[in-house]
Amino acid sequence: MVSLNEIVVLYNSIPTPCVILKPDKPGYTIAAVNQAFLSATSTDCGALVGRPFFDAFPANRDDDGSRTLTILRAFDHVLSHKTPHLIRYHRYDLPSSESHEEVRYWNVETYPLLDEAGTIHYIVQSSTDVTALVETEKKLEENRVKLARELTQRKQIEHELKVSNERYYYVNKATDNVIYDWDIALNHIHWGEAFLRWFGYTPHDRFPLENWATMVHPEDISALQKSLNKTLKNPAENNWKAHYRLRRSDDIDVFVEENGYILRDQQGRATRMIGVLRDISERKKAQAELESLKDTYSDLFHMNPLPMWVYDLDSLMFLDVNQSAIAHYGYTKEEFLSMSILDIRPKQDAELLVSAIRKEVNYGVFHSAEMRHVKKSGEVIQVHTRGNSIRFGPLKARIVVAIDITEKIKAEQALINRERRFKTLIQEGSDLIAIIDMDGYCKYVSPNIERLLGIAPEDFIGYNSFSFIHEADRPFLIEQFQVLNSKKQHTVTPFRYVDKQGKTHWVEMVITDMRDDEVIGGIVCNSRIVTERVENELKIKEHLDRYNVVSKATSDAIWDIDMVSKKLVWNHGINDLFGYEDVENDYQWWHDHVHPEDVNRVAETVDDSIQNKIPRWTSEYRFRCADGSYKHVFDRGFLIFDDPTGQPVRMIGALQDITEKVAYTKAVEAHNVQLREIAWTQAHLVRAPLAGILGLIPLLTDPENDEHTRQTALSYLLTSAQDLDEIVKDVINKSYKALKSS
Amino acid sequence: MKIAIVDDDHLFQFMTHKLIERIAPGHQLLGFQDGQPALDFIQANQSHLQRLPELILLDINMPLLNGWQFLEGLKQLEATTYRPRIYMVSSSIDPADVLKSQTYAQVKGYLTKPLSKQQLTELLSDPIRE
Repeated sequence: MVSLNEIVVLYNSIPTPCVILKPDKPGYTIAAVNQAFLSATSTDCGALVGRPFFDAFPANRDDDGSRTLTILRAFDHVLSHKTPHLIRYHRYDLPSSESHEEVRYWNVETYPLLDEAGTIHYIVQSSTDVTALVETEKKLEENRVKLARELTQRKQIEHELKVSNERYYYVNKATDNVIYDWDIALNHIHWGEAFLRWFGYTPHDRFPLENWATMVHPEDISALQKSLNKTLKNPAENNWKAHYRLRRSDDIDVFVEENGYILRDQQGRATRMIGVLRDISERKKAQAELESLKDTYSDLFHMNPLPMWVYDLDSLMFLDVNQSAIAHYGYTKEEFLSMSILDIRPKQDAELLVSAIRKEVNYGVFHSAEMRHVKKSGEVIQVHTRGNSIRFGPLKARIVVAIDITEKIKAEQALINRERRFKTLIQEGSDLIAIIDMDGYCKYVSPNIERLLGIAPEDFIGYNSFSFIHEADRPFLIEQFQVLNSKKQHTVTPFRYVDKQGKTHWVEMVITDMRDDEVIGGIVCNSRIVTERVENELKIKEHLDRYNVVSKATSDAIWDIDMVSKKLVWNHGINDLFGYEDVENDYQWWHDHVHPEDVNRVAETVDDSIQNKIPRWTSEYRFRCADGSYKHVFDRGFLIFDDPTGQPVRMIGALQDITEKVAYTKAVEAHNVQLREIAWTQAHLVRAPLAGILGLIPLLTDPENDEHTRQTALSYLLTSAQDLDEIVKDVINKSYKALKSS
Repeated sequence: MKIAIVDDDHLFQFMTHKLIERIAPGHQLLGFQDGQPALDFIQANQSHLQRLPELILLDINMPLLNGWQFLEGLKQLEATTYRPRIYMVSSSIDPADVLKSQTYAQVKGYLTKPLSKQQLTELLSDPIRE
């Protein structure tokens, strides 16, 4: 193996920069560098030899480690494979100053120096500076990319141009707008196809500006050219608009609207103008017509009998109101114009209104609604509004017509209420209402027939109502209907209706002839079920009949008084008992004939019964006969009270002649008085002398009494015996009288 | 014991005196011919109980103040400390009189004339009997 010095000498002769390294991984100490290396790197040998490679050549500032790693892997390759390793275009920048590095690219070849035994003694790194080559390649690549991009863009532009030309071609074909392209420098106008169609010129005509000017209406040309020149001369202006009349090839003037776009050079001179002409003849005509109608529409607004106004859709402020609105709402026009539409709504409706306007009211869309408004007076009215969009100068506005429907709603509500009342009266009332024809066929019956008579309306309507009438009453009822041929209304006395279950109902009916009425077209029957009343009346009649029979048989004087009218009816007894041929049929007559000493007592008895709701009362009193004498009577009264009110409605009674009985009773009573007197006499008067005698006897018989006592006792005994005799005589006289009187 | 005999009948006054004298002599007998002088006596002496009769034999029928009226008068005196034993004595055997006498608390019994020796003996021998 040659020495290091020999190797250095050998490598110094090579023009390629080389570094000879020791294979002492990981240091890879620099053993030597050749002259070419020192020249290329502008270093000296002493600064490099003996230092580890990566210490001498540290990583560049912008190296993220990947470039250093490439060198390290080359060394590892050489060590492990003992074969050369080439790195192309390795970047390793050399320092050009303290803070800057010069970009350099190298082709780095690394290979081992082996002895015969294959042992690696040194590693040589040979670096060829290829910086110039790399940069040249880079520029070439950049140029290529740029060319490719430009080519793509050009193709794109060409494509777009093609599309644009096609679009221009087809637009020209399709549009009625006249497109032109005026080359100002050449003073040539290229017209689109529509120009030819609309104005009747040929495609071969060249149209310099003078030609165009001759086509413009003489009255318009001066102002038009003035406007055009002024716009062309103003570098800041690129758009030109004009309205004028243009003459067609057939010499007819048409109104056109022109919009031109001016193209200028760098100095701001107008070089070209591309624009569009539109035939606005029809629009002009419509505007003219509209102008002529404007006054009419204004009259329609201001003279409209319905309140109308215009309001700003954004601010909701009134913009205009008509006379009807002023008259109806009570605000002056000035007041209206200072208000918003919210001011004529109840406060609580304002939020709802704003929401409705934002949601439902759209420009150009007709809208109608019902809402509440408030007049200046505070009166709240219900209105139906209809609105539509209009332009009011620059403002988006709504024109609104308001129809006050307050009265209409009230009338409708009143009608509904009336209908409801009528329906309730019909359904819930106790009267049954039916419409039938003269033959009895039912056209209508109120639903309460089911409740009142237990029959469904559908089972009644269409059937002959007369068939439900009791057979015995039917001819009478049919006859009653015939009365309507001579009068409008007739009341039919109660008759019997037989329901499907065979139950009989008494019905009272008022029939009204409404055959001439278009709506009714029949006989209106207002019927009332009076079964209970009629049955009660029948019972009363039966009782009365019975009463009349009994009345004829009895010897009592029977009376019947109507407590309301105070009318009093007597049977024949008043004649039989008291001798009256004619009586006044009232209560007062009875009252006047009761004995004055008895009348108050009897009246109190009757009043007491009435007050305490006691139906039965009795009383004994004296009643004056036709001949002026009085008879003792026993009167039995029976009161009838009205169920719901509890008031007496009737009183029936019977007067019984008890004169004989009273006389007998008096006689018995007198007799009893006499007997009592006799008994008293026996108990008291007789016992007194008798007791004396009984008491004296022991005194007389007692031997211990002295003579004086006995004499006194004897004189008392005599007196007592005489008294007793007198009393016994008196008793005998009274007993005789009593026997005689009985 | 003081015994009052209130009766307009002289015979009864005579017989009762004689019987009491025979049965139990020593009693003080007060005779009144009518209810009124008897009531006047009681009223005049109601603060001297020792002067008043402890037993009264009272007739019913008297001309001025009868037996019933005497009892009412005595009630009206309100002499709470004076509570004599009173016996109605009458010749009447009318049950109504007997029943009426029972309505007065002070009336201890109803005796029918003539009074027997035995009746008087019982009345006088048991003055506290009621």
